[in-house]
Amino acid sequence: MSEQVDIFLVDDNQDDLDLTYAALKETNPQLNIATARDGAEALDYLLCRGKFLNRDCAQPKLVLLDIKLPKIDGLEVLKEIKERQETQRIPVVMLTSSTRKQDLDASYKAGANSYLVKSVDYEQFMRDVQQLGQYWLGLNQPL
Amino acid sequence: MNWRVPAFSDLPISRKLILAGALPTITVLALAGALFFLYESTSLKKAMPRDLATMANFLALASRASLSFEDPQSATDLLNSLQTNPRIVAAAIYDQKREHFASYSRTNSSIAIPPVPPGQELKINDETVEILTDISLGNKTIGSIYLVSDLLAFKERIRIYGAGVVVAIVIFSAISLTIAFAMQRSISTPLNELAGTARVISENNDFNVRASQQKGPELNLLTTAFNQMLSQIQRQDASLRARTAQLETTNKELEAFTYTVSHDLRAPLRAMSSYSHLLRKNFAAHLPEEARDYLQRVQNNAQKMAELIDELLTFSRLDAEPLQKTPINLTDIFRSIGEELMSVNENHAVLKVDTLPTVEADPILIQQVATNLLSNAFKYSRNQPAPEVQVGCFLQDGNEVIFVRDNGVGFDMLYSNKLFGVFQRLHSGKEFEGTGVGLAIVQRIVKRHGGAVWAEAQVGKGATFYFYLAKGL
Repeated sequence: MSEQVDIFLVDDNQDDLDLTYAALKETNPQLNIATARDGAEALDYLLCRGKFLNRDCAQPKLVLLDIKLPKIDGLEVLKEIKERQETQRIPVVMLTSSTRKQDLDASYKAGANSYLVKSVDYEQFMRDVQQLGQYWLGLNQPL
Repeated sequence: MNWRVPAFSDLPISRKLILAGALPTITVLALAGALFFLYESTSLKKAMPRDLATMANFLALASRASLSFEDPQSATDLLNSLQTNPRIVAAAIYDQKREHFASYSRTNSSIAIPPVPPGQELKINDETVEILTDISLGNKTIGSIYLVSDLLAFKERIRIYGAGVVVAIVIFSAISLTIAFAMQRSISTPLNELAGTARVISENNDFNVRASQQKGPELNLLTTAFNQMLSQIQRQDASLRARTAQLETTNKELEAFTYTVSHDLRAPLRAMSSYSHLLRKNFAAHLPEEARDYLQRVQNNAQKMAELIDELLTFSRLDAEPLQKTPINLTDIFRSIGEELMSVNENHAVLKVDTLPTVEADPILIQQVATNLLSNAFKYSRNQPAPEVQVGCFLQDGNEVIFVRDNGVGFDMLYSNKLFGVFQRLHSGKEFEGTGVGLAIVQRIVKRHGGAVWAEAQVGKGATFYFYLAKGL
C-alpha cells in the first residue's frame, strides 16, 4: 500500500520538474511527491486508469500542473479534473513560465485554484513554493 | 430650393418630381378658379337688383292705369301674374296717399306685406332683396310699387358655380398629377435603380455589382462614374483584404512567437540560473572563491536575460490589446507609485508631486508610464547628496504637459535621440542597472494615446522628461 501523496507534480521539462521537486523537498523533506511528465499520464494517474489501474486511488492533497504539456495540454487536464466528480475537489495550482494575461485568464476560467509563475530566480521560486505549500497543504485541507 | 419646405426635402424623389410637375399647375388652376368664381358671384350680385328694378319699372308702367282709375282688381291681377317668376315672393302697390292698393304674396310665403311703403328704395337682407319704386304719370307721383325677391335662387346659382369650379379644379389637378406621375418615372426610376444598387452593395459589401446603364446624358454619366468608382473600390477592397489577411497572419505568428518566447525561452534560463545557484550553495565548501564568482556571474546573466525577455514581451504586447480608456487622476497615480517605489528601494529622495490634471487614458498603461519615469528619476538621482524628484504640469500649445524632473546625473543631449530606442542605454550596467526598454515602453504608450514624449538634460545637473496625451481621443 502506497503512502498518501501530498503533491502530484506534472511538468514535461525534466529540469523544471527536478527544480520544483527540490524546492518542495527543501521546504519540507517529509513531503510525499508523485510526478508525471505529460497530460495523458497525469489524467491516467488521477483517474486510476492505464498503468495506474491498480493504484489505491487515494487522491493527492494538491496538484501542481504545468500549463504547457505534451499529448494533453495542461489546460485540458485542468478542465478534465474540474469536470469529474472524483477529482474536482483537488486543489490545482497552475505552473507557468509565462506572465501572459491570456494564460492567467484561461487558467482561472478552467477552474484553477491558484497560479504560480516559475521565477528564473531560484530563491524567489523557493519562497513562492514555500508559501504555496503552506497555504494549500496547511490551511486549505478538508477535515 | 428645398429649404423652403423642410418636409419636401425628406420626400422620395418620385414624389418630389410629381409635386414639382403638378403643383404649379394645380396652384394656377385653383387661383384661376377662385378668381372666376369671385368675378361671377360679384357680377351676379350686381345684376340681381338691376333685374329686380327693371321688373319693378315694368310693373309701375303697367299699373298706372289701375291707379288712375282706382281699380285695385286689375292691379291685383297684374301682381298675380308674378306667379310665373318663382323668385318674387311678395309684391304690393301703394296709392298716392301711401295706402295699400293691391298686393301679391307667393303661396307658403311668410313675408308680411307692410301696410305703408317702406322707406328704403333698395334693401338687401340675408335671404331677400326688397325694392321700392315710384309710379309716375307725367311729372306726378301717383303711387309706389314694392317687390320682394328671395335670394335662394341666387345663392343656388353661386353654389352651382362654386361646385363647378371645384370639380373643374379637381379634374384638371388629377389630369395634371397623372401626367406628372407618368413623366417623373423616366427620371426617378433610373435614380431609384442606382440607389438600390448602392444599397445592395453597402448591405452585402459586394463590390461585384454594377449599375445598369441609363439613357440621357446626365444619368448615363452618373452610372458610368458610379461603376468606375465601384471598380476602383473593388480593387482597393481586394488589396485591403489581402493586406489585412497578411497582417492577421503576421499578428498570429507574432503571437505564437511571444508565446514560445515567454514559455520556452525562460525554461532553460531558469535551469541555468537555478542549478548554478544550487551548485554555489550546496557545494560551497568544494569550490574555490573564483569558481563561486563565475557561478554568480552565470546566475546574474541568466537573471538579466530573463528580465530582458520580460521587458521585450511587455514592449511587444503594448500594441496587442485595445486601449481601455477611463478618467485617471494623474496626481494620485504619480503620488502612489512614487511612494511605493521609494519604500521598495529604500530611496531617500524628496518627492514633490504638484496637482496634475485628470486625463482620459488606459489606467494600466499610464501606471506603466509613471512607474518607468519615476523609477528612472529615482535611479539616476540616488547618488546625489540630496536627491530630488519633482512631478509637475504646464500648458503648452493647448496641451497639458506633465514633466518628471530629477537632479541626478543627467545625460548629454547629443545622445537624446537614442533615449527612446529599445535596448538603448546611455549609462553602463555597472553604473546603473537596467535593460534599456523602459523609455521605449513610455514612448510607445504615449504615442498610442496620441501624445508625445521628450527629454531635456545636462550632464551632472539632472534630467527632465516631458509628455502629454491627446485630449478626447
